[in-house]
Amino acid sequence: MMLFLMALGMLFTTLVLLGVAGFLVFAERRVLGFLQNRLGPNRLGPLGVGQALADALKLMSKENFVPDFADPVLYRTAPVLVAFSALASFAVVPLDHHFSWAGNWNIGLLFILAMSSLNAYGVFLGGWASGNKFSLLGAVRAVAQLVSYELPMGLALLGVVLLSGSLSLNGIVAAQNLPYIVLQPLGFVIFLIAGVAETHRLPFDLPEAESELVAGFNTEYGGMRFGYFFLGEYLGLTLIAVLTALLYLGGWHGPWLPGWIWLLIKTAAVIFVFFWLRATLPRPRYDQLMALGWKVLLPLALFNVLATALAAALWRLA
Amino acid sequence: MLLAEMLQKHFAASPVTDGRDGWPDFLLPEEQLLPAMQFLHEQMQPSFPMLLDLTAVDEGPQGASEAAQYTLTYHLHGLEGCGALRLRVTHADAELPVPSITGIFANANWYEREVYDLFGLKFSGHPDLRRILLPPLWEGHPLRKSEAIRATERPAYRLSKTDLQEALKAYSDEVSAPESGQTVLNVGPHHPGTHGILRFVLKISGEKIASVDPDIGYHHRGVEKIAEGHTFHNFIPYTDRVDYLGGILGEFPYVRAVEMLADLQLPDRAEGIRTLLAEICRISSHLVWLGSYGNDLGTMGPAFYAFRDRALLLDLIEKYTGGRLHPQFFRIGGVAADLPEDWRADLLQVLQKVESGLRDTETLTVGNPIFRARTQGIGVLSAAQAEKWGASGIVLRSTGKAWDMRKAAPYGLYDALDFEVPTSTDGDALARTQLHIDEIRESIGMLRQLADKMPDGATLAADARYALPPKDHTLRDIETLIHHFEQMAGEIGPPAGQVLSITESARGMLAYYIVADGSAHPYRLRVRTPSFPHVQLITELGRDTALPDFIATIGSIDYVLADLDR
Repeated sequence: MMLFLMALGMLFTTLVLLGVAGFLVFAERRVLGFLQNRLGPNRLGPLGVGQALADALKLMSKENFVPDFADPVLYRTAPVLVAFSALASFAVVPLDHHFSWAGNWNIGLLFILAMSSLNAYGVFLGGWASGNKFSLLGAVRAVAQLVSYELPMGLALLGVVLLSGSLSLNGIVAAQNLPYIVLQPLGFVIFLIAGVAETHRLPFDLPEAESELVAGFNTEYGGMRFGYFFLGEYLGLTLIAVLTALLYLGGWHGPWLPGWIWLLIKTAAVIFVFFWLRATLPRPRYDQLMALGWKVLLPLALFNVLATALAAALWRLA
Repeated sequence: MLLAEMLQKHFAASPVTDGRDGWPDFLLPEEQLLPAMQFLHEQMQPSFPMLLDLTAVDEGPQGASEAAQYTLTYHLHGLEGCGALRLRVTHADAELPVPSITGIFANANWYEREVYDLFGLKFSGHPDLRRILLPPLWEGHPLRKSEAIRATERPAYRLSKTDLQEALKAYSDEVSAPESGQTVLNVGPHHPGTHGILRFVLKISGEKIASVDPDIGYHHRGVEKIAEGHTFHNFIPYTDRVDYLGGILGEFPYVRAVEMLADLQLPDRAEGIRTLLAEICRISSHLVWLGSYGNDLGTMGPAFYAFRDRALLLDLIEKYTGGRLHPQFFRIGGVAADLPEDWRADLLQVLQKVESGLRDTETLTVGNPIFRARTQGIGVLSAAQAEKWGASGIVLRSTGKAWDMRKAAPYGLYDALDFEVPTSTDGDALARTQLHIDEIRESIGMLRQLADKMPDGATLAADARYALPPKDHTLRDIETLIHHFEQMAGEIGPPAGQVLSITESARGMLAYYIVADGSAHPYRLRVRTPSFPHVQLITELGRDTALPDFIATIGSIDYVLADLDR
């Protein structure tokens, strides 16, 4: 019975997350429209919300093809891997004190980092298995980008871990009497930048880079397989936003309102920043992106870890 | 005259007098072509650094003699006071080759390929003589007089299955075999970064580009051949569409060419209205460029801001002319109608909005640090390179050369207007972006001046023999009615002669070269577009760049595909 309820709960969570991702696609189009002096989709349903449903239906009703020149097994696996890894990460994300699947898991952060690496495998294999030169270039870029940004991200997180003394997300939020953005301003900025690169969204959408690589790693994908990549991207976006809220913005802490509403508000604010970036910024070149990762973010992140450790040690002595 | 003496003494050139544009014009013996070109390019003071255009005329059944079946016409340009020079060479037999001048003028490469493609003339010493605009499997050379003008006069085009497979091979690696470690990347024909159907065959290793081979012609509509089947007036709508972003700017050189042939003097108001519309179209074209260049670099914002302002300009053009993108508003001898009563107020209002909107677009492009990092020092062009490849417009001006036909050889009302020619010495993509913005500002200034001092008077020339007669006159006197009828029915045309008319379009030097034989149709009409040399330039500029820089470079080299392929 317990198992059955858990399965039901997981199914429900997954459906909610899928709904969130679908809604974000619509929300992004409206926000971009607002920021760019145009309307965006506003026809279907109130304010155009129905557009999310229409897009999903369109993707699902399309033909599921595999190009002749693609490696059929990997080509089919890759999109699932992307969507799966993003969804699985949410297992350790708590909504409130005791409202999560595995929020207390004492390797929660590590698990998320591991899953995000798996996500990159999905992108890489998808691009590689497509058998298209543009896809391959996109895949190569995706791996290079992941390697360059996984490191500063992990190091930035180390600052949070040092302060809270915990790897579980519940523990980290609980430790935040003061939101860590105050204690870890540098770490926050590094995490946010690395997070954008991690989800490869503009300005760091180099694996896709429409004007250069047509559609990068997903050039040869269509229908629901493309939909999985799409889903993965928006779930990844939500994940990074919710992590930012949990790790740096105090999670569910906040006056008057229930905790989960606070988390929702903070997450939405971070997501809006992601949309805003996309509406405004051009895409840097490949080597500029790598240079930023290795020559700026990595040393800064290292410095951040050392400074945090030193400050924490002095604090304890005092 | 020094030039004439030199050419006559050393190269046995004989002056020709049927030119109506006032440029020096000589007929050269074929064996003197190369030495004369060499001399003009290197020793002559002042020299002619640029090959403006190279084309041919099939003298056809009217041909002067057996020995002059084809005439090759070379237009050189000095880019200084000395202006253009026309050299002609007669050629008897299509089977015998003409000496190639690619060793002297690098951009002759594509021009000679085009002559080979459309006339079937061969060039000896050309490094890469193959078809350029038409597909490799095409049979015949359409600009020969023996070829039909209308497609319906030809048998239907069919591509057999084996031919199709042969054609498709062009997209695989085997055809242009790469060296080891390299791979062939087809950027295009359908690629978001090429702004239309254009294919660059890149040989890359990693993302580094080892060689670039543009494959053009996907937009070829045969405008030059179409012109031969139309009357002079009928052809005006086609000129709008040669550079579809320029609109009116495409009509300008054409109507001017015909007016030079007929020696028409235009009333000031007609010139004023033409200048006004041309500048509005220039701003609108530059705005499209700004928006789409932002898109090339991955930013979505500028496109929407630029297009918002462009829509205001298009509304304005619609109010003045009835058309938006392609107003086809110029007539031989003037313009189709006077401006509406309240044109001034509308214009000033729109200009103010465009000016303040431009600040947004500027902040989003050259004001953005990532944008600067992507464009600074990218696609750097030197003045010598620009001249070598025949670049003009902003591409040329970004290398420090203040060359603008509106200043150099004013037409329309430009000599009455006070404006600067913005230049930069950086020669990179950032400089070209900044120049587009500066030019929009200059154009706004010009339009404000025009709002102040638009001359009064008629909008059509009084000379009803060649100019379009005003409609209300045709209803009053029989003489004008007859002229109107004869012109519209294709009974009379301008006097025989040749003319080259160059104007500054949004992209650079746009020139029409017309050979008239006195009939109502152009005997040969040649469109020298700025995009053609610009895309050829990419073969050199795109080499040894990385893929993202390549996109940033081709975007910054101003070209429009319809302008490229004609």
